[in-house]
Amino acid sequence: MSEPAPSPGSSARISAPIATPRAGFLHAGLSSVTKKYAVAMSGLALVGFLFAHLAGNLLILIPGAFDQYAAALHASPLLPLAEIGLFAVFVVHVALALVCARANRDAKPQKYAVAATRGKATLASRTMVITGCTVLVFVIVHIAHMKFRAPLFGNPTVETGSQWVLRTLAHPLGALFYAAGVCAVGVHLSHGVWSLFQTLGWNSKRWHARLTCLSRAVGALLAAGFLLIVVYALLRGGR
Amino acid sequence: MSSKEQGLHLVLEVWRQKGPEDAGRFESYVLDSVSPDNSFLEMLDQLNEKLVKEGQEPVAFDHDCREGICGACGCVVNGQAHGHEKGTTLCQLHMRSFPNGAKLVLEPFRATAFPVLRDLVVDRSAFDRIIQAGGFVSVSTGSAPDANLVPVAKDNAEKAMDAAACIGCGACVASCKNSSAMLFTSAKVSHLALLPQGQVERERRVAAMVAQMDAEGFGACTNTQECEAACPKEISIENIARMNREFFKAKLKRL
Amino acid sequence: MAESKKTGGATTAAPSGNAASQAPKGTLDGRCPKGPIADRWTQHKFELKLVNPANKRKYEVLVVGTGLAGAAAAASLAELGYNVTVLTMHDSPRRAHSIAAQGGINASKNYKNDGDSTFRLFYDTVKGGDYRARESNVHRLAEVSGNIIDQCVAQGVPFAREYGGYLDNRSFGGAQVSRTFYARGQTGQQLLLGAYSALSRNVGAGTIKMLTRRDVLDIVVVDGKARGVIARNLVNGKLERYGAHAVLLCTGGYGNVFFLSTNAKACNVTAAWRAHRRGAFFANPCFTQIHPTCIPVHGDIQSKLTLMSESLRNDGRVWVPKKAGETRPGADVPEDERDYFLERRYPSFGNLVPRDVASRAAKQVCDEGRGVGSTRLAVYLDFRDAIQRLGKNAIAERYGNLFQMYEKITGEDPYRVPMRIYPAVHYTMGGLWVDYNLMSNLPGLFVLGEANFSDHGANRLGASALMQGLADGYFVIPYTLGGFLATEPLGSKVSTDHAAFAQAEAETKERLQKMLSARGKRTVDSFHRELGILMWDHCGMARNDAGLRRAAGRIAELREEFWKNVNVPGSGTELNQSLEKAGRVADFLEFAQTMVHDALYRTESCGGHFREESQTPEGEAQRDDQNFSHVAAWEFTGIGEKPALHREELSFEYCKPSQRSYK
Repeated sequence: MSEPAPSPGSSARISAPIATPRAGFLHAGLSSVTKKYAVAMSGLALVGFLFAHLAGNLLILIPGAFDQYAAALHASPLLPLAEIGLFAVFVVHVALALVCARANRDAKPQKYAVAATRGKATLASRTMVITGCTVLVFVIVHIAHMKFRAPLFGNPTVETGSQWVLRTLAHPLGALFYAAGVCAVGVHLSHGVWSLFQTLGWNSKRWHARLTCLSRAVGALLAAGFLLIVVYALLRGGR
Repeated sequence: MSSKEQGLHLVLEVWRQKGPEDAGRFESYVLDSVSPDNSFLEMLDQLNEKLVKEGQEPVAFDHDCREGICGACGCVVNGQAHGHEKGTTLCQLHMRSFPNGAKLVLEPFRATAFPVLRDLVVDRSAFDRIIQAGGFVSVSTGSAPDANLVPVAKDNAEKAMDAAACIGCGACVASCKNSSAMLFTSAKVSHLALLPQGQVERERRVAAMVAQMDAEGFGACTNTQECEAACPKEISIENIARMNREFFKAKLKRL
Repeated sequence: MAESKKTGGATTAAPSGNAASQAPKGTLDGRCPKGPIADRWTQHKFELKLVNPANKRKYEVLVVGTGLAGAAAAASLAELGYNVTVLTMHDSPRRAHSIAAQGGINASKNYKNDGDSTFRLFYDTVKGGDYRARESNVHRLAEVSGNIIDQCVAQGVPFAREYGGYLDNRSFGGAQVSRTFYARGQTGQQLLLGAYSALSRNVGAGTIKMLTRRDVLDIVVVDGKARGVIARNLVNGKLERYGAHAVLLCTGGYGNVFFLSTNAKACNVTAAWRAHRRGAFFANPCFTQIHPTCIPVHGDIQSKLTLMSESLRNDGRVWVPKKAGETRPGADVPEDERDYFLERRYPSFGNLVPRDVASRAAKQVCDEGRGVGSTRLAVYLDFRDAIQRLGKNAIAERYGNLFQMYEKITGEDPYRVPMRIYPAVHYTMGGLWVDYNLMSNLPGLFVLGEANFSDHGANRLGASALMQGLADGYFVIPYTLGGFLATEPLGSKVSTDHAAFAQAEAETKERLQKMLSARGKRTVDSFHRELGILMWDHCGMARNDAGLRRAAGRIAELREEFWKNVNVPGSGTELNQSLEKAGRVADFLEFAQTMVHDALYRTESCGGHFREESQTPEGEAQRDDQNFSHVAAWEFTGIGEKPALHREELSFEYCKPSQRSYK
């Protein structure tokens, strides 16, 4: 039997301010779970990108390899497409995360007088918005600097991409900026990777601890990998 | 002297708010001779007896069974929903777990979806409306087949029971920095998704409950896991993962 | 009938003076069907008139309370098409106290193949109730018990299962067959959440109007029929009127008259008592159940007692030291100095004797000075032997959550030291008188679940309360209410502008105002506590004529003092928990006197009612079937006045009364 039909004369719901989907065009009529899912999916794609990015960048440790790789990359007709795709994924990730963050803030109008946690929340999990925004700023500057060669850290005159990278990373400000940026990425991912598995529904009691480890490992690995390049540049003195 | 014989001396900072429109403020009270064997709510009873005798209005707080199962009680003690003890409702928290001279700050559960009615009393009817949206099996009285017609794997029955143990107290919402109701909602979704009886309406249920949860103004889950840590029934966040899974399976089927 | 005229202290003890020999004013007919017992309900269902489906939604029904009985009734009636409005005093229907039941629910499914049957469940229930219940009602209860399990499983109630996936059962409360279905130690919670989900489904569909935080403070009666209620909106204090063709009271028991009980704090007698004051008869109020396995009282501030499932008695052994005044910790008392008094006195049932027997035995050893713990009002429940025999893990698996609860409350580890337990008030078998259709003597007023008196006689068996609440709600009222409404013209509903509503509201208002304006010196709780001690001492586990008379007098004095000296802060136009409590205590103070009167009247011992004057040479309860094989239903005649007696004779065609023996 189907569920009982509301009797026509009755006043129907009386206890509710029932369900109007959350207002605001930014939500695009999406449920909170859908938005989180999109954030997780795009996050997963970005983690994948980061590994590829790191792998490419590490070629800088092999003399000549990096410039070859860059040349090949730029010769590919698919590059602009990939860049647009990556940009779109990034925008989805950032925009929906911010929309959720705003709704989350509205959901808790008043903080507690005594701030306390039960130790389950970590610094990383509580500061995803902060580390996320830090990464956002980092990425904007990073693209301006690396892609469009904005002379932000010194004003090197160089020929090759590898020289550009190594010289700016050997610059104290450049090193500091990039080190800080990749650390923010690492912290963000140390919670983010586990979190995306949880949001995508790929978690269970049995997998919980393993995924938590994996998440921290991914964050640490990526941060360490990128830091390695900074350290390498510093040791090499930019040459 | 020991506090066991003399009782505890406590300093209480309690959120007082006349009604939903009132701004509210903290007020300080000192309470002596609190027996360590008393429950937290009995300590509040003692405070209220004192306040009434002094001609003041007692602190309003929701409570009923006082054995940790009805889900009526709960407030935030020193920043933690139901106080600091693991897997414990406020009524089952005993004063022996506080040191003599402790300062306790008592606040209502905070969430846009849980408006304060008075003092420590909040309106949690949003939870009822989430259940009304789909937290049931549509079986009218009289239409059930024999109970043993459909076997249920013991393991699934146990997992369903783990999820069904939720008492609807709202500590998950209170302890979440986003006031998310994902743990509550997912516990009911999981309970029914794990049982054969819940299969027919599986997709409709999760979609409707999530929609209602959003409409009530709860935040989204950012997986800090504080809800699980605060839950007096220790409901696992595994249920949230399961609900996410259920939700997308449902969405995919509708595509 | 405002209190002011009738709260006189002078009328006190007099009314109970000759309760013992009170002549009945009238006789009552339970309107039970005739014929072979197994056919009665079937035949009756057929004979009940039906309401035209097109008219059902035009019939309005009020359901008060959302426990098992209320939630189940509301959902089932809404599914039939009636226009249902539900009121609860809680913030959510899911808070009702049914949620706290631990042990399980009986049903005669005979899944265990151990000889259970509808007739056996019926027989056990009548016998367990010490032959003070109606056979027809009890048989119906046993008949529908299986349907309840089917219904609950279909709703998704996660009952315990065996590895094959089929439902598990256990033996409970001394039953010789395994017929108890359970969901860990939270059966009541899971059943209530099932009923709550059915209720919620209808609320969501708009077929039930759900009103939370509404305290029903009066029943409106017009021309002898129940036509509505007056409720106080607990958030803003407004008095609201609700009219209907029928009113269902599913408001639970009155155990909190003892202040300390295992009932939730908000459990109260108000709706039932107000109905009684409007003419509904109160039956067997002295039948209260004391549960043997509760955590003992620890101090003056204690607000409630916590029950632990009596399934603990399956493995725990109850004992006290042989010598009075023993000071060593329990674990240090050597074996030969222990008195396993239940095993000694009742060799064949041992620790599994019925609740009333176990409770009284504990009281007796404590009265002999052999009680344990700081208050000496406790006995040991020891798992040492069970742990040695089965291992700690097996015990943890069976009782882990109970042990944890015990440790949380007492700070002692029951794996290492014996538990201390003591009896506490747990359930009330008495309640508003109802006929076979669950209708009180006021037409249109139906009473379901613990609030009525019908099925448990003088003592309820373990795991039968959940069964009765759900039977009434799911499988009895949907038929019997129809039978009543079919005879009620649609136009018989009374407008809430009717003078009776106005009068009831005005009286309620005056009463609230009176409590608020007393501005005396004593808190509401202090009155309640004093009443509770009085009732426990004189109308508790054992009762005698002199004590009951003393209590009756003292209750009247206390009631008089209450109205003069109570201090209820705040106003009536806001959320005011002191005022809520005050109203409940005021009604308990009136009700207590009727309860004591009933206890005085019933000079026999039966079930949970133990009159010291009526015991066998061995100290067991001695029934007096000659004089008391009847239901005593009391009619209100005024506060402090002697209530009028109406008798419903009980006949036992299938279960021949015998002296219970657990030796």
